[in-house]
Amino acid sequence: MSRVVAPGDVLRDRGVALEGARVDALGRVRATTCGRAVERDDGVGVERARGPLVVPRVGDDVHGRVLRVLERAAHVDIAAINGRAPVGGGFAGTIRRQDVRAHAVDSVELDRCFRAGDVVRAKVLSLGDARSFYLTTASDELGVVRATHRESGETMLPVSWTEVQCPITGEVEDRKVARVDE
Amino acid sequence: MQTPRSDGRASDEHLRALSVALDTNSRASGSSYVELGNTKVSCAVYGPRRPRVDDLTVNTGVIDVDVFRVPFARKRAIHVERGRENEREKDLNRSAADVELSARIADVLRACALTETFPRAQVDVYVTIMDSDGGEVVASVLAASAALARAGVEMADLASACELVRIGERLVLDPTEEECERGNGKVFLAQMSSEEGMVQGETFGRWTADESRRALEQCAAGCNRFDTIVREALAKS
Repeated sequence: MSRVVAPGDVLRDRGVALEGARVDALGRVRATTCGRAVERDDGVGVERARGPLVVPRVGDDVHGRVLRVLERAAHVDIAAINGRAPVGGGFAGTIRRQDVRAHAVDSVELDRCFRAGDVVRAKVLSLGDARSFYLTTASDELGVVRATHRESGETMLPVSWTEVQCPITGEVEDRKVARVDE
Repeated sequence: MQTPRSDGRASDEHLRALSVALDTNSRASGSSYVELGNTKVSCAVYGPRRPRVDDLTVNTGVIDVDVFRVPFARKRAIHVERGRENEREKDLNRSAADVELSARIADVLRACALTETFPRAQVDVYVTIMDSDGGEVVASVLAASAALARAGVEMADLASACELVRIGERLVLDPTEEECERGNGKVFLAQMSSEEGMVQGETFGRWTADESRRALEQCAAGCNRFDTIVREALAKS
């Protein structure tokens, strides 16, 4: 059973630090978190019992709910990062016009891509500005994963890459639809 | 032959018993409860989570510390402003001394935590002083550092702290409140024991270079001892 360590504990006198560890000024690998030391061929790290901290990092896969759609950006409440919920509510995310899709970036109309209440799957693009992280949906598997019809309350089904339809009323609305693999 | 101390400790270099309990608050990301003699401090850490302040311009995480003192803690750090003497004591719980204490603990935690690992996020540290009999800053630093580690926030090292007072010619380590009052000088040290780096030092009163060096050495030894106890507690849970 690998040993339980706390921040500052020396894991190796010399080596490569993986997740949960760092190299100090003398080249020693030290733990930076509480957990179990994990020895691997490519280095040593520390694994937390409760899993890694849930904070948005560049490249992370996130799911969130669209709060507001404006002319230049859609604001998203990030509810899950890599499948795990952050502590105490969501982080703020923003999908800017130029980050909605990969092609025809100049002709994006945001209200034909997202609506408030949609659940979207996105990727963290950058730390963003002071108010929120920047997200991107410019990829086939990113975009709206769930849209609800305002009146019927039913989940609308995708009919193309850019349209969803309510199964009760038959109304079709525009969205940037995410490809969901079964 | 040293005079025994008021709480029965035989030596000026004796530390009080330190007990550390972890995960005492099931809703917090990390929590601890520390007893150092009669001084009792509890700490809850929440986060890293969405920052409350909307205009964060730095690319590192924020650590915010709030110290609260319960009404029945022995020592009430009341700073009564002129004209407010009639206000109920309960409203004065957030006193100037506690605001300063929050800032000191925050400084120590910020030095130890790797804030670049949670950019644009905030960690809230709530310290509650349940009873105070000397060494409340020491106990608060130990409790906050342990709770932060339990919360999973990455840290260069745990922080430990220790203080001593000078009573006459004697350097008395880990003083009680009564010993603090009799003292004519105090030295406080917070350090990262593995790194052997001093994180925060505070000196009150007049000290010669030799005296302060001796005092810091004794405090460092005290810090190392407390650090060992905290690590044992972390290893067990």
